[in-house]
Amino acid sequence: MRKLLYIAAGSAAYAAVNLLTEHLSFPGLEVVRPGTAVPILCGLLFGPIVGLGVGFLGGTGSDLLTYGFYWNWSLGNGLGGMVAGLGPFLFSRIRRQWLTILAATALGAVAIVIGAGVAAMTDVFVANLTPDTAISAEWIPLATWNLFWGVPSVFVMLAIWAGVRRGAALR
Amino acid sequence: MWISGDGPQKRLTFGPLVSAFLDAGVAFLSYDKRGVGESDGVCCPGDYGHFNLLAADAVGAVNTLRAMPEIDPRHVGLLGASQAGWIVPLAAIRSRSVAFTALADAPAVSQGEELLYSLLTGEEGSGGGVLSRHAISYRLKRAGPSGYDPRPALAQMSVPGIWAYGGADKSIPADECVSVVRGLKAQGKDFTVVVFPGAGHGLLNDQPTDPKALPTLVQWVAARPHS
Repeated sequence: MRKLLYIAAGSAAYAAVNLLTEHLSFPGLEVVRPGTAVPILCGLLFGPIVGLGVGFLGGTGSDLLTYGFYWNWSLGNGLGGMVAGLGPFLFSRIRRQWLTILAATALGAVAIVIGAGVAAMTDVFVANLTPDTAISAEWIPLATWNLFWGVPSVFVMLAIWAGVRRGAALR
Repeated sequence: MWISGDGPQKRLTFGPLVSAFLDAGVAFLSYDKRGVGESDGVCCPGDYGHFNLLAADAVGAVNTLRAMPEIDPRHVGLLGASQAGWIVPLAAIRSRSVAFTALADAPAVSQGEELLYSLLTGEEGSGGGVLSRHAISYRLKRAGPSGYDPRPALAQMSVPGIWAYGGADKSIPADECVSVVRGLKAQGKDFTVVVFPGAGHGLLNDQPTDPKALPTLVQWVAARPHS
């Protein structure tokens, strides 16, 4: 039940951030995509099921309200969150907090690249692209922008989360 | 001043494009592209994403044209098609002597977006051709700009410009380009966009994809302020 609540809240947050930033751009920075961090964070904090659900449902929600439903790209979003969700299992033995944050951010980067790869490489079948063009024209630019926005956002949010938890523990 | 598109282009011979401008009282200059015909150098840096040299060539040609006694040096503009969309804005901001720009089938998005679009429409001949326009727009938005992006140069342009697009162009994402140019127009630029619905790439070809495109550009150029 708690996981369903996390998925619902995370999906709503992911879709909302995507929609709010969809048409934003700045001189020299055409893509504004901080929402990339949401399913990654949800996976890192609440596990792979929540990461998968938030990525798939949140991505689908914002896509439906803008361009339509593209299942393989929603799946890529979801699998990114799911891979990030392996963090709690992988890093449970790390005792130093800063090291945990760094490791989680690194896993988040890997998850972003894998999620973008799933979206792009399934377009070999969905969009009739060749594998090399799917890599060069979709995977690399998509992963680059998602890493650009996702990695710093995940790092900062994890640091804030750790600070909040430490503060709560002290009280 | 004509700026060529991609590939090894020689200077234009007398034809419908040139005669349309001459008939309207507008002088027309074109030159062998760098490394082609009688021009020195190596062709074609633009085909590898390097537009600085081609923009410098255009600026040099503008200076040459302005020095001719028959030419009013205050009213020299750049006209081009297709790949020229990545060269003309650069030349226009680097030369203070360009009075206007007129472009057809010209990308106002990055090389990466243009390539992805033409791959997805099937224009590149290696797959694609199965997605709806909406699905293609989604992927362009998600992939984002990559490679050379003309938006910063377009944002720096201070001279009037016109962009003509074919609504059914499978090489250039007309909707996205129109959006870029209209966005800049909304910020106060003296930019004009004309879309010819149903027309494909090649608005200024000898066999144009829409015969109204060339007269539209000629009329716009001829209407530029004269002293």
